[in-house]
Amino acid sequence: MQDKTKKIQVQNISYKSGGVSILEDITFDMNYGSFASIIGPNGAGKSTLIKIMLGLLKQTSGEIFYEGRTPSTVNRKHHLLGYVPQYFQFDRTLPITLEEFFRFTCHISDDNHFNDILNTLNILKLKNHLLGKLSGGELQRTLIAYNLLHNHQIIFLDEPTSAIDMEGENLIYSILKEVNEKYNKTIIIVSHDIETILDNVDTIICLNKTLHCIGGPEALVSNGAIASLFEKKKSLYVHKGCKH
Amino acid sequence: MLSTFMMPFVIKAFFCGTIIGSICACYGIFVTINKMAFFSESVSHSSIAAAAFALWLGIDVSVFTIFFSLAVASAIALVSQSSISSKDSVIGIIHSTTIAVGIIILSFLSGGNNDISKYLFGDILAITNLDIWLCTGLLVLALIYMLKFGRTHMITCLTPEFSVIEGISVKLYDFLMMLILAFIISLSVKIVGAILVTALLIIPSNASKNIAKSFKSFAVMSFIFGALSAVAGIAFSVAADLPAGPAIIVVNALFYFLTFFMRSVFNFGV
Repeated sequence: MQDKTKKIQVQNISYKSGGVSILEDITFDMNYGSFASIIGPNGAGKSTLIKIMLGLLKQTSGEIFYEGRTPSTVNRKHHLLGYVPQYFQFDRTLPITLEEFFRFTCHISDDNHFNDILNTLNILKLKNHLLGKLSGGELQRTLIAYNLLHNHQIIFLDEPTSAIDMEGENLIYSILKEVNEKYNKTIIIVSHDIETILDNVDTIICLNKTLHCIGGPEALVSNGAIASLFEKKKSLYVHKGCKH
Repeated sequence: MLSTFMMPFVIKAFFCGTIIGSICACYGIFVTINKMAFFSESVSHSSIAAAAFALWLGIDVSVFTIFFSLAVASAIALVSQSSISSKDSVIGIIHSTTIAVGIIILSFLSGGNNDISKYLFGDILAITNLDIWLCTGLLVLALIYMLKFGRTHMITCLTPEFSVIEGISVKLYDFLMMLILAFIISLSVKIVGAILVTALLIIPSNASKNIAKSFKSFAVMSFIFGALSAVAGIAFSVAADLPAGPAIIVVNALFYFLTFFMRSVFNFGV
């Protein structure tokens, strides 16, 4: 059970790449056990922020703490952070079944727990299928199962539904909700799909290089914060003569 | 005919050939997954330069080739990890540099030196007692590495980004694999020659991949194809008085095209 009084602390995070500022002075706290989404227009720095939070990128300044521990030190002992990338790159011609993939990459000591997780993710019947033959949605669910089998407490997902249809998208969100509630995991999703996000998450972080706003979906919709985040981008398109 | 197969040099050839064929087939799985065929080609070709150096200096070629191959693998790993050039480009640069240096050294050797052809095309029937010991050492090392680090190494191959998050040094494991492959290649050169050694690494695993329906069958069939090709190739070469290295590769290739046919026509492994 995650202690919901525990916090993820993002403190004054800035990131520059090749002299270009990607993130500027991002600061917020988030409770463990949240189902959160990072939203913002293209180029807002959403994927960069989660890669910094995972320790895959080193920030230019600032610090991130998980109960006082930084990302680079937290995972060696505590296996706290999990990740589902937008595109999982692997050799699709490699003959490896789903079950073999899990048994290779995860320590499975309890077969009942293993089957229970696959069942929750709706991939139990695919156990003997080849990994390379899975659809986009099945692969995303496989990666979520991978993170649960590793018992990662905080799972970051980068645009998890970008390559799947509406039906698959609804299934992913209902599964993530179940993962958040049944296994009590903190879920942080990067997404463009505002409508689906508003229906599912409890915390929204609005980003556009700087932190635009943070809060519950209802509050951010009613005070117009989300609309203004995308309004800036819209005015940019109109200014350039593109009215879409 | 049977007495020929019982001759000491033939027994030595079977011993070393089977060990090398099996190890190459097993480690070839990593070569296939990590797309390291060009790396293998580069290290094997560098053994021509190693042989030229050793002959010029008058030292043991087998031992010198091991150290030279390890140095080439280290150079590829270190330069590619700290250079802005792509890994392919770095391998290409080091590959051509070592061959160029080898050709220059060869020009210093008096007259046409026939010894160098042994390293180009292999000479399994000229295996010495030292080669037997080196092959046994390689077998022990390959087994220890596979038992101790094989699973973690496979994790870094299958999920490199997740491994970094978990705090596993993917670069270190890549480097270790390059070193062990360099060791395997440097000993394989004596059997099939610098030109053909990459085939020992990539054909068994790709033949197996054609028809495998799981990773377990992929690994087991790769091992079987590698070991069988070595035994059958050497037997065929002794019986028909043909060069052993190319005979092993031809048997390997037969497995590849047979499984390719099985997949294409009968949908095996699909």
